[in-house]
Amino acid sequence: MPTTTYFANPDTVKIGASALSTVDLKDQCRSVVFTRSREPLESTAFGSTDRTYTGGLTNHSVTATFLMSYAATETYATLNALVGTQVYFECAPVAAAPSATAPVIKLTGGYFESFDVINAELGTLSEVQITLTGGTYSEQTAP
Amino acid sequence: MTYKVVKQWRPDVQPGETVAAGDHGLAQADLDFLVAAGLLQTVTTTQHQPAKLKNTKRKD
Repeated sequence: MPTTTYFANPDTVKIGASALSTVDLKDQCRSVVFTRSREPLESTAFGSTDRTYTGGLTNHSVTATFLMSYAATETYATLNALVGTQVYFECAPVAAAPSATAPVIKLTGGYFESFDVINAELGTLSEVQITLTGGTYSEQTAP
Repeated sequence: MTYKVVKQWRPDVQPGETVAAGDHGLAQADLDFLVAAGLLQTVTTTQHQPAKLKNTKRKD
């Protein structure tokens, strides 16, 4: 049995043109996957019997799913304005002051390529999924 | 260009406050985004029309 587990329920899911102008879409958000990544560069040389790699450029990505709403300051108004721009994204997985055990994960300058302005299916709540790629990863571990 | 805060998104910005680029560290891109998201409203300034000059030409 694990010593500790994480019951997924992020405290904030903020997105905006910059860190100064974010909108918290936590109340519309259903899932967030924030992947920190660094491209592998092969460094295997003659004489090696194993392939080896070294870190290249970082290439982070964020995929988030939101319940759609066309009301003011909600999903449509917030996200549609950002299509085709570099955006700021922030997610606090734990509802506590930022610390080493409650980090706030941030992506600055992630490219927001496309947004489904309509995703409607009979008898369902409309949801939209967004993907941010690239940008600079950072963690806030102090208030 | 100035904007009126419709809805608060940061504790240091109050609804009804007027903001412009450079205030609170906000860039024009931030302001454009906040307008599109419905948090800010563009303040339109009405220009006063100059009073029409009376026809002072004397009729003969």
